Amino acid sequence: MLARLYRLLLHAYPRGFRARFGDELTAAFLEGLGRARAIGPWRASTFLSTRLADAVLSGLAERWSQRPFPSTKGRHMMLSHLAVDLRAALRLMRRQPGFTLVVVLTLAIGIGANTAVFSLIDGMLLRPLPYRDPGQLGFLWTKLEWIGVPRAWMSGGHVFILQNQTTLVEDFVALQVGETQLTGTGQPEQVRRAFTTANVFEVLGVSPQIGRSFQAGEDRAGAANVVVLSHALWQQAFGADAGVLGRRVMLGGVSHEVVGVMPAAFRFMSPSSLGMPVTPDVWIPGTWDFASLPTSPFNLAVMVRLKPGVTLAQARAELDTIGSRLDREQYGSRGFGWHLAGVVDDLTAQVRPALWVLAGAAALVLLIACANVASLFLVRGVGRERELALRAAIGASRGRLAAQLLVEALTLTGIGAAIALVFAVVAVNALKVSVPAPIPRLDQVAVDWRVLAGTIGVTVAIAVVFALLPMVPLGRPALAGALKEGGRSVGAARTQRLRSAFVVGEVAMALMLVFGAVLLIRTFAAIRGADPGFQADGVLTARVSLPPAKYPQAQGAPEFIARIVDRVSVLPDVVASGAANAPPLSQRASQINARPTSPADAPRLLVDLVAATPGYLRAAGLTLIRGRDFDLSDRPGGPQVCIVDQEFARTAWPNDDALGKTLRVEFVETDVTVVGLVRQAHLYHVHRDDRAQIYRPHLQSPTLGATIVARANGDPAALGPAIRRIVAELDPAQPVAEIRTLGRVVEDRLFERRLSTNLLAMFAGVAVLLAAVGLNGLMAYAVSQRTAEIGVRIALGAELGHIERLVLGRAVWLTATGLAIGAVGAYAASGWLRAQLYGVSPTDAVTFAAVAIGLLVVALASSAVPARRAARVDPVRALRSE
Amino acid sequence: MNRSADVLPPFTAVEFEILLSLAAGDLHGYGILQDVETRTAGRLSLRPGTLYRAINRLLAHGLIAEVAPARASGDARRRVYHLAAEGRRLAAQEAERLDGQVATARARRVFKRREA
Repeated sequence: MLARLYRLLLHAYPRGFRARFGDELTAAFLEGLGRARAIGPWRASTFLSTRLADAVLSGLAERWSQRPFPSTKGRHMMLSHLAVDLRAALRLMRRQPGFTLVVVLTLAIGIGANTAVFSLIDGMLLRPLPYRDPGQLGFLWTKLEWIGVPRAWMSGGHVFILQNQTTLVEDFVALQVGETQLTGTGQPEQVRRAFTTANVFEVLGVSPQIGRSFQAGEDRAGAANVVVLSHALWQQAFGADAGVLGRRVMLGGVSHEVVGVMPAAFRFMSPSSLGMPVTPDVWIPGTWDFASLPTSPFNLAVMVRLKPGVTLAQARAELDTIGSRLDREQYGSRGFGWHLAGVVDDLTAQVRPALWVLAGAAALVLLIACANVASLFLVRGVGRERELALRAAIGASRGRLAAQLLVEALTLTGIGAAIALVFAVVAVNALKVSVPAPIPRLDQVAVDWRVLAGTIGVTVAIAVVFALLPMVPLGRPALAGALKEGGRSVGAARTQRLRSAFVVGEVAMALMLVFGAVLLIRTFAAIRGADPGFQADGVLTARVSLPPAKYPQAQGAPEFIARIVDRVSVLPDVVASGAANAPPLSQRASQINARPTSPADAPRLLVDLVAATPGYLRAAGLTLIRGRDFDLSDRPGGPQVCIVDQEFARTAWPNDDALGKTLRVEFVETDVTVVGLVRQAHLYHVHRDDRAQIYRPHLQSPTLGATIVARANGDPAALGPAIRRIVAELDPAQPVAEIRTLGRVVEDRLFERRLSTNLLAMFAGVAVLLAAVGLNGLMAYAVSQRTAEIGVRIALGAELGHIERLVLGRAVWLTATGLAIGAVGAYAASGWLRAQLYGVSPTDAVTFAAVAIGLLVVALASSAVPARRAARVDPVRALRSE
Repeated sequence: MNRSADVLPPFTAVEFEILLSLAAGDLHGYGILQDVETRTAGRLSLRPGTLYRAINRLLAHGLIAEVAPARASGDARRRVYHLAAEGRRLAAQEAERLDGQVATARARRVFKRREA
């Protein structure tokens, strides 16, 4: 591994040299590494860093030393000057390793962080999807404002209305995503299927890699069953066999003919109204006849392609017109309408705010890094004023001097950018493999050359400006002054003012970052600490989704699930078991309308419906406040019952006991009696849910899919194989999927938030570090410049404490100014962050005070060494040096 | 610069050290590195980059040459270097020059070390 890295770095050498000595250099490197390792890790690491740097620097030096000796005319001269300057720059870098290291690392961090984050943003939010005219594609949603639903799916009836009334939409694609079972190809497997209108691939403008896409009419009732496979499933379940075309596979217990396989690069995510978008494994034509479908339920994801030249805004205006007419005529003007969103915007809606916060943070880090680098260049520039003046005096043109400074700045930036690139690639890839759940479009992210170029461009521009600053005082009159021995540097005072301004700015930006990071950390802690309404410890979940062909209208499905639960409950170590179609955090519940039967004017409520078996409440660790759990007497023929959560009880019967009350729910003909009251167990977010919940017995409200939930005494993960075996014994063709502990489910749900919090915390840490380095450098330099003055003070009897306070006072003043500016900035940015916070205000005073004090302490600590040095100035020597 | 080939050597101090190492017998690159280090008691520790760049130059100017490695050394990747006649001549010339300088320095009491 190290040998490979070393070999890679050897490319700094010219090709011929590498061919000749590469093997020997590598052998010597490995031998030396072995010896250094034998001595100890410290020795090994110093060996490594010097040898790797040596490879690059010597290589570049060899390259440039091969240039022909300077001739005296034209382009050749430019080139040879460049060679000379580069050699000078490399020499300078080797002579000032501290300066080089700080500049290069600072640049690498700033550029690397920005490149990584903006590559993410570019790949996920900005780059168009790989479809034909992706700008003309959008997703269509139903707005039901009177029940607080901004994004419901579409109903078939409404699609029909729109098909007839819009003039701007070219095509409608309807999709319905769910689970199905792939059997007959080895182990039965649960796969994600999309029912779709036959025009889907044509509208997207993509063709299958092999085979064909759907033909018109294949989505009519009675057409032959055909399926198009995703590339991933084709490889995984069919070994990428081209002979799969024409083969029949069993999906959901029904035979389908494979007609096509999509290309590997094809990506499609069907949006879901509440949870994360879904990538289908199999595409099957649905058989909807929109003309005869009702205007509810809202159960279709609908994608539209606008006619060429039509903008989203124009299409929205037309949809609003049609929608508001419908609202008046059919919905009593209660706020019915449609919402049209661009495909990329729609798919990334959930991750976008966090990404932009990260982008802001990365940009601030880059600014701080640039300020530090500029500051370092300024100091060095002042130190070199005399050298430059001397060279100007003996005849170097200003252009030549500027060129040399430029080459130095560019060399440093170039090396920093190279390290940054490695850093960004590693970071982006690490991020991609560490993500547990599919985040839309993340798999398409790669470090983008344009992003890298842009970031480097900004940095180079800044480096160049500040590298050239020392040139400014080189007007003729200043020359003599600069050359005078002991003459005060012309630019020093101005430089110090500029650097002070940089430090103030750095502190301000660091404050904003740290404050934001601490707010997010507190948010994360608050969410972690919030009661999700269930107890995840010791619980294993496993998804069983039954084929509709075998269980028409879900008939017999609850009985099959109950048999699994029965067998699981007698496994050793299992203390409770049950099943539900929508377990905690599954985002799977269906929304239905429920209305209390009394009082007569009780409002209709949109609630999440969970179908659960007896024992589910205990297995998932829900809290039954009053009443009873479901039991075996709650059968389809018996009285219809339900359990409600306290949210529902409070809204429906604010002054009354919910037990024994009755309500009407959609799709049930009779009254449903409340037999129990539970604390809400969240289905969507760890810390909150938006809707009230109703639980119904699985037998009375059958579903094809159910998640088995088992609470164990010991390690719940150990139950996985047993559950798999039980299901296989009951039905060998039945797949079991998503075997995960409930704890894992919670962690996965928190992943995005944890990631963005960690990243922001990292950026904040880097910002503080850079600001501290900047402040330390400024104070150290100030002390060195004022040595004579301090010497005089000490000679005249100033106390040492007074001298220290003089230095620290300056540091505190700069820091305080920065904090004040940062406070204004943080306040201005608070609105930006508000949506991401929970349990803490974006202007939380305690957090702010703690962060400010913390930064002040860091500032004092980073100025302590220069202050100590100031107090130790030897007055005699200080005065003599003047 | 009036660098005259007659007065100043066409090689650097590092290259001179390499010539000195090879004067005792043929060595491969890593052997030179170790020899220099032991001879100077660790005061001069060559980085591989510096070493091979120097070797490259000496080869190019014909001061040293590559020879077939002894069979016993076993490692085919390792090239063995030999001090060429031209290298030996220039090294001797440089040594003489240095000797003269040392004598002068001593005579003028630039450094006080016991007489050899």
